[in-house]
Amino acid sequence: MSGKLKPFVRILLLAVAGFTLVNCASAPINDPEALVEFKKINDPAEPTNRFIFRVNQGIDTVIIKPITSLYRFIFPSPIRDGIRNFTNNIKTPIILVNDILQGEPGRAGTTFTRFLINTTVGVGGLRDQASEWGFKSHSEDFGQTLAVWGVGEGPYIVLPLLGPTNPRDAIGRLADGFIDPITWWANNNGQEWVPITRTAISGIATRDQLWDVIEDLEKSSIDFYAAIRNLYRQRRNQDISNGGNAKNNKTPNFSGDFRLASPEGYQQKSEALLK
Amino acid sequence: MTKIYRVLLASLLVMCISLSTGIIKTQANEFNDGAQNFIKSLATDAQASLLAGDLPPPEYKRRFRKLMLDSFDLDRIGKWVVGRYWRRIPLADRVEYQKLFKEFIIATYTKRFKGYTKTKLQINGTTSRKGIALVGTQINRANAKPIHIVWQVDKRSGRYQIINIVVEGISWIETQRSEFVSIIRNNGGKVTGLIAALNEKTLVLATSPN
Repeated sequence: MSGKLKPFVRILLLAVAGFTLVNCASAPINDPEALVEFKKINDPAEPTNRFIFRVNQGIDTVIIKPITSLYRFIFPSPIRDGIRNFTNNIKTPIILVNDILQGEPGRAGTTFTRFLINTTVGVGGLRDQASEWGFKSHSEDFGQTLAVWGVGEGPYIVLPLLGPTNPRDAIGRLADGFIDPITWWANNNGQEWVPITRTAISGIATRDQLWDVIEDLEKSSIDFYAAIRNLYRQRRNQDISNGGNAKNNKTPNFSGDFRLASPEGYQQKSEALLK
Repeated sequence: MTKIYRVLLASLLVMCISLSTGIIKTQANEFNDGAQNFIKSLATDAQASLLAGDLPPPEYKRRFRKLMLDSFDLDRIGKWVVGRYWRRIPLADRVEYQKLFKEFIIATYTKRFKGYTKTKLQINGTTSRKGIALVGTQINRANAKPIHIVWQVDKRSGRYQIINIVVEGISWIETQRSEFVSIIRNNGGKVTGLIAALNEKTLVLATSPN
């Protein structure tokens, strides 16, 4: 992170922390079932988070969506694929470091091979040749590494501009910034615009990729905020387990249909209703 | 003498156990195969019936509706997604809620489904857990990673029905539940808020173009 950004980030964090403290929802300590639910939702700063979420949605509507729309209009799909491949390829060093930190030599090997193939045969990363040759991409970041090391996620938070996260993943993001060789190079050579431009381009490329998904979800959601909160968590768990859930997901507990995960004693009541 | 008895008894026990596990295994296999065939034929039937020529929209809607009601256990899903609040819905309102829930799901997916139907569903295999069959499938796409979809299928009174869909590790009913519970919570734990929200959304979905 550049020197100019630091005070801004500090003020922002302070403001968020202050706002969060005054706006915290209190835990329902008298109702054990409600307490379980409260803990499961794990969003003690929900009112603040919802406010920031709305601000982010506003920013999306006014700035990000129009830019992405223009981007989609100017560049045909193959070119947009190329841009996305390129921004993915320059992120591979971060993935590689995290593969290693998680003790995954096989995946680290794949990441390294992908970088070699795509940077050369893939014309500087514009083509994802490695995937066609069987070296499939995967995501890794320091938030996931922390999770593998046993660090819990902490409460859900929504950050201005950056969106849904939690303390673990937010720290992970910062750490990834320190790992990234491009940021290193840029900071040492006074070229701060390079990582900023890259972040902007990859942000638009991601928004473009998610265009239809977001459109669909917004249309059908009855509580868009809650849907995103849940999807963020499920997605992260999926990434942390390296897709272990994709082929064989855990089954929902249909024997106790009506409990979130309630303590003993509430079980019989709900099961009696099942029949 | 006692030794021989013991050996006999032990071998009998072993036989019994292996026989019964054998029976359990074949039952499980039958269940899994049944669930897998159900998903397989559902995919083919859906494509045959919904992509047959240029269906007029009302006919498409009618067929999609029938397909959803036949192949998904929406009563059970509807209960599950409100979690512990099911108990708080007055008996008289439960029927109304279930009806509304079905309309909401059908209205949502009538639109979403259209884009997804053209590609073939590849079946990868089936396992079962806690009495629920997990049918693993994937949709292959050109120039992109395949999408893994797990269909969670249960059999009740001889009939297979879907109770959940897991797309790339994301559980559909869990996402629905998070939204439903959130709305109820933000309405002071009352289900009336949810019913109002469902009513409104279903109306919007039904009247919007496409």
